[in-house]
Amino acid sequence: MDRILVIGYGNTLRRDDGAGPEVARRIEALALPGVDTLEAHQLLPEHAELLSRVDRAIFIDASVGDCPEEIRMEPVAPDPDAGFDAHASDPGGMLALAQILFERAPKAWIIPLPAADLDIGEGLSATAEDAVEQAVKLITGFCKQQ
Amino acid sequence: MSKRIVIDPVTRIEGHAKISIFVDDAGAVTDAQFHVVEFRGFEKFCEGRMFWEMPAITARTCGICPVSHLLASSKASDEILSVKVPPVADKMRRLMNMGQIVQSHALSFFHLSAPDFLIGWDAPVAERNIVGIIRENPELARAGIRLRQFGQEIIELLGGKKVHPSWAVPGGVRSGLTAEGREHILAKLPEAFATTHAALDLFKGVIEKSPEEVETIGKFDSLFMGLVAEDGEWEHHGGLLRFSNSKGQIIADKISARDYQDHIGEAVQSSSYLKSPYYKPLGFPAGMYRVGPLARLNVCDFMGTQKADAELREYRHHWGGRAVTSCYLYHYARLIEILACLERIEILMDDPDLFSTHLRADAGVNSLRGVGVSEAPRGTLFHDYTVDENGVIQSVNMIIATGQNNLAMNRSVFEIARKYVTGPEIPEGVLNRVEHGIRNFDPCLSCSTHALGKMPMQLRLIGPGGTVLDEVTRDG
Repeated sequence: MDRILVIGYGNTLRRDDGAGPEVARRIEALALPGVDTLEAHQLLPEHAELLSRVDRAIFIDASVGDCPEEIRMEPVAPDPDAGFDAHASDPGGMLALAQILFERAPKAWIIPLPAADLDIGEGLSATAEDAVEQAVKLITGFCKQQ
Repeated sequence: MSKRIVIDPVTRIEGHAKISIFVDDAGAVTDAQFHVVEFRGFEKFCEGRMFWEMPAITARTCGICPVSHLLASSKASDEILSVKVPPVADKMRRLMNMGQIVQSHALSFFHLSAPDFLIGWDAPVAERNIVGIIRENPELARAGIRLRQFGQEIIELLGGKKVHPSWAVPGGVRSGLTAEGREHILAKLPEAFATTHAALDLFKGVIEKSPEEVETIGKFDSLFMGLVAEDGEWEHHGGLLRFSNSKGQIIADKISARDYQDHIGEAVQSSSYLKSPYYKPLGFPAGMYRVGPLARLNVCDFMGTQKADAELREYRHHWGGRAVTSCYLYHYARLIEILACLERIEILMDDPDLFSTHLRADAGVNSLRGVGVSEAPRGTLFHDYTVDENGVIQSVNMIIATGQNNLAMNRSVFEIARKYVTGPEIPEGVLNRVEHGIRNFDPCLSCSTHALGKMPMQLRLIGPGGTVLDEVTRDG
């Protein structure tokens, strides 16, 4: 059985920025076999080691860019030219770090979730809540197929 | 007529910021400002919450230093209870803070800063990163990541694996260290020491080969502030506040946290949401002071552990005695602090109180105000709460390290720009050096969101009337 890591990241005190961790939390509650979850405020260098130990990885992050109307998994590949900032490391960069440091990176996807409200506070907007529900269904279906 | 160079935002710091460099018609730098363009509203957000919740809430303001907020908040809450925390709880809080200092300093040195001075100031940004370090020195890069992991593991051994450990609580901590946790720490310490010594040797070699950077990457006079123990020993969680100056003289000493407002004023500038604290007796902006590793090493009399004291003596001998003033040596100071933490962690593992089960003092609201001070990796962190008789938060004042270094960061950028900017165009390598001038402080703006697609970087030279004369843009 493939080992899958679901990484939801964002700031849970900035409303929709916390959508990623919320997805990870809900996936963890489902206790899917072979699936580990990680809630993180942001991606950090040590996550590269976790990535190197799994076969599949799914990143979930709030996005202020153009999001497709339908929530979907977009493939992401190791990107050695990505930034490796403490606050701005992106999935491609983390995968590259895993590949370079630990000589193994999983096949990976990112699910961008539309963020409508990034104000200080807790709780998700209706837009983000709907996106979280769709993402959980999508990930659940994906994991069951593996 | 002044012209303005804008760097917006700075990469490899925590949060959003931009820098403006002002030059006159002759191309001479006249001023520099580090702007924080995102509003921190957490103080207001906390009003109306129960003070019991504050450690867990404030820890969530920052993904990089949650432990620092957790501990400062717990200390403020201890004061509201008016209790003395049990000895083992204080020791466990210290252990977690040292884990935080180790992991944060390791990240700053190996990942954020080393690319500049190891790969080269003028190297393309695509190479001047941790991948570049891996290519140049793969074992150093791996060791740096493992050192950071070690600090992170200490935090997790105490607080669990969740994002923000609500482990320290008013009156103490929820749980202590297990025997397995102690064994894990002891097993990892030798490599952590070896990595730290290797990094110290490496950085000493760097500054020996390029002493110019020590002089130009932010060397200037200022005051310094940090916690020290009663006997002047280096502190990171207890003790009292001390100010010293660039002559190495102590100008204010044994200041209790509760009295901080007698000594620290907070100026607000229209150009930045970041408050600019200053030493009150000297006024604003003459009361500029620095906090963090460089300042802590300047204000303390000694480190209190054998290896760190030997390093401190060497550092002071070569670079300024009791007043090391170059911001570039923040990196050096960070490494000495990592060493001090490792030695203290090692000593603590043999402490007879280590497995005591009396972890928390119980009480209700006994004081309507609580001030907690702790040394975050980046510098002194203040949490000041007032509550009503039911413990509902009425007001919050937080003074963060990056705020206290705000004036010094401006000054640092000014000194670098004055050296390297001489005309209306942006010279190659200036952006990197100016950025590094900020990164020396390892600033954390903490409240930033981290949503995809928000981190472009732009350097602009703006002439009179707002005309953009030159511009460099990087994608996030």
